[in-house]
Amino acid sequence: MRYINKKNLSLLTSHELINHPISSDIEENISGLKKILFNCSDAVFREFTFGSRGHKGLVLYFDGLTDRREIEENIIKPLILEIGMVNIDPGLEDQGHLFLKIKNSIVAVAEVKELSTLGEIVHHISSGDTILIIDGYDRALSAGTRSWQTRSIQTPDNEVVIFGPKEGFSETLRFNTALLRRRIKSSNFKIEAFILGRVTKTDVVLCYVEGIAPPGLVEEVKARLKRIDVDGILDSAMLEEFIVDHKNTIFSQVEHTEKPDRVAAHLLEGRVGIMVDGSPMAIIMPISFPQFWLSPEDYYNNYIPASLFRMLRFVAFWISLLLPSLYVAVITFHHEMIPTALYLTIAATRQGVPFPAFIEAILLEITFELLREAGLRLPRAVGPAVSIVGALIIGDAAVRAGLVSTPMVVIVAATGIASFVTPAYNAGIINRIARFGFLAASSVLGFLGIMIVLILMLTRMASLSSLGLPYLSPLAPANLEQMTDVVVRRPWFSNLHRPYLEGMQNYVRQNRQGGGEKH
Amino acid sequence: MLRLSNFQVYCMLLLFCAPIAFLQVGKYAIDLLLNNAYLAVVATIIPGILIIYIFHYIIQKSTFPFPFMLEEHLGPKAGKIIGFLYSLIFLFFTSFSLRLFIDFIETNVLPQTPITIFLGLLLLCSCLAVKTGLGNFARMCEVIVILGLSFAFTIAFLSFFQHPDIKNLLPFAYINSLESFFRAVFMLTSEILKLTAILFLAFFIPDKKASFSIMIKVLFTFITLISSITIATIMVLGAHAAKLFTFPTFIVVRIINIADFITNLDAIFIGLWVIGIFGSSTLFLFLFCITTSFVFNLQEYRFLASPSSLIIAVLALQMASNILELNIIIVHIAPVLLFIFFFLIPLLLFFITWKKPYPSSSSPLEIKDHFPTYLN
Repeated sequence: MRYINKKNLSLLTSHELINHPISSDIEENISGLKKILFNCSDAVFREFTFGSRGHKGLVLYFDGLTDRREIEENIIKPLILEIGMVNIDPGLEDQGHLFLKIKNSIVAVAEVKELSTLGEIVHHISSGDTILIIDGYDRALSAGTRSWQTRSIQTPDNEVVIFGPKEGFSETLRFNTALLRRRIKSSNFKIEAFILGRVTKTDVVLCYVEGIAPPGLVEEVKARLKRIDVDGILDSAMLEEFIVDHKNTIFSQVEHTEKPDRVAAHLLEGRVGIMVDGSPMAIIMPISFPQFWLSPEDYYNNYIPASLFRMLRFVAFWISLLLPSLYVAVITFHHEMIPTALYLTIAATRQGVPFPAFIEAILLEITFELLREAGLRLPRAVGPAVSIVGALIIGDAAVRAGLVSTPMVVIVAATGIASFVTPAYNAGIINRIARFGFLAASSVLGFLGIMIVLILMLTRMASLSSLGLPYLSPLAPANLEQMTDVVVRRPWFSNLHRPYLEGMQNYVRQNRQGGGEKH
Repeated sequence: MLRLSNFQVYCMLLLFCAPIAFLQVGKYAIDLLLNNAYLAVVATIIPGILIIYIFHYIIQKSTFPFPFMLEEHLGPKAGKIIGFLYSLIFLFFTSFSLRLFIDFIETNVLPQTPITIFLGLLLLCSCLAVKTGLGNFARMCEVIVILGLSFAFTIAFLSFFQHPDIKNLLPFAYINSLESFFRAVFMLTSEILKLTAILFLAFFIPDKKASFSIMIKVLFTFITLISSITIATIMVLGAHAAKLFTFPTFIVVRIINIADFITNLDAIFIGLWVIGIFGSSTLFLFLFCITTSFVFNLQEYRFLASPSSLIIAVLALQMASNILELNIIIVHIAPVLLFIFFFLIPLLLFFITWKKPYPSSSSPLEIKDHFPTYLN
């Protein structure tokens, strides 16, 4: 029988072996695993014997993903040195007594699981666990010994705040979930795990607060995650395209963030967060477009200045979207709109400029985008210097050469600065793309063109939704209560309800009678 | 089933009635009544409430939305025939509102640009809006109305500070000719008749009884808006001078001067007015597509948007060879058509439903199985 099994195993390919159950013959298991892990130089097979009867054992792990000291101290050393101290009835060894004793009394690791297939073994060692196989048993033990070099918790570069928590997510999923768990100390805070990617087997978690997040919403996200069948998921942003309602659009339907406090705030509003192992970005759904104007620090600041800053951001959003096109429209078609003195000044600076205002604007906008991209890609030490010096030198040289006018440089620079005011990076991208459409339309039809593009944009935005939430809500469909927390920042004491989501059962956020648990 | 909020229906109705009226109706009232034009605007409340009552009554006595209610109350054959006439009227008014806008832009804003470009662009926007569906269009209307109303009232408010002369309103409430007064009221009422769209929209709100309060709110917003801009026009320009201009409201906007720096706000006004006209013509296009699909028992209405755009474009270009001919349509043909189709036929429905009992299922949710599937 053993011969037949051995022969069968040797005939199987590594793909077939993955689903094969663990054999009670350790040699078979070793040969099967070596076949699966062929050419994996970081796989460590440590064979040893232990106990008075010379049991064969195998410890298997991937070098670099595990804590070697923990393996030596808490798995190998107790097995070799301390097994004799454990009282095992020799007659019961074959009935699994030894295996249970090792699991319960010898392996001194916090997390131990029993595995039954070779595939499970491969998955666990890939995740940083250590596998212990004992001859004579058709099961293996997986010990949680994960340890690898990681980036420490740092302030997110892309979401700088003055008030509020500064820590950001890192690339290690467990650290990230811990950061959330520290903020939401409730058993209702659920972190459901998925493994996505046929090859990468990436750990993905879905976070939500049970009782606040609408059950239908949670089920829908789960269903969409389960539908993903791809070879690999390397970042949370990759999931976005799989799970959003509308795929062919520039309008982002999820929010990306590196800040745990931001995710926690969204979870408390009934939304769900998705995090991927290896990515410092969490994605939040469902989201509406006005949400992109909001910054987490609004809620850590006094509501009056916070409201003023929010209004400023609102103005900056429109400046970054429309200022160059408004300027082109005024210069090209609607001169009468600006006072004569100002128009004469602008006309004087445009003397000798060989390009129409539209070409001027396009040239400078493209230059600005190039500098921005170059600043992002260049090494951190030289990036800002190159972009600032580049902007100054190119702008000044272009004006001196008479290629562009000074007001246009001012307009494009003001637009660029305004575009950085929008807290959400994806909203900034929407602006950057749409701005060119507005520019082209304004150069052909002036204000009329701008309005036509605005109508087209509005039509598209009105037709979008994020997991069923209308993209323009709470502006359309209008919800006055929620609108007051979009245009301005509503004070906490009047923030009585959560933003409404379809199917939400727990709508009340604040109990005016006061309270809070006492410890 | 498609669901609309009361506010969405309010916005759609206001967008249907107000944009063209804002630019034009005040002028015709001034033509007829000079300094007392605002009295006709205010007096429109009375026929307005009457119309609202008629529409509300029809809604309460109907199980299906317009145009399906035509079949319900007039029988299958007459319902289809009148439905067909309605689809022609909606087609005409879509073209008419677009042509009106184009002529305005051509004469006042961009005289060098061929009108087919404006027409093509606006029709493209309307087509896309129809294709995305009524629910999405309702959301767009909310944004447009919030923006448009705030700007329209700001314009009216600012124009009161442009050297107004209250004496231009004198003598107060002295009407020389009652005939002119009633003609002005008729002109204004013909714009309010566009509330007919409620016969369709009321069936998508949670409680169709709320249609009465929605229409009342639309009426009062309309009256406030038109009367304030009419009074501002008379006070700033004077009734006799206002009579000489084709678009006196536009002239008032041009006069606005903020701190001797921001002048000639007309470009912004036109920009927002474009959105208003887009909303108005798109709702007409919606009604045309839905009525046509009803007449020909079609399973879907959205696909009609693209081919009908061609007809609308040709009709808009051919309906009048110049602005004078268009003025004849505005003053003599459009109000009569509006009166027949948006008042007389609803009045006929009102009398027919008079003797009928109230339908057993008043909630749209209860009758959703009987709704045409494409409205779901």
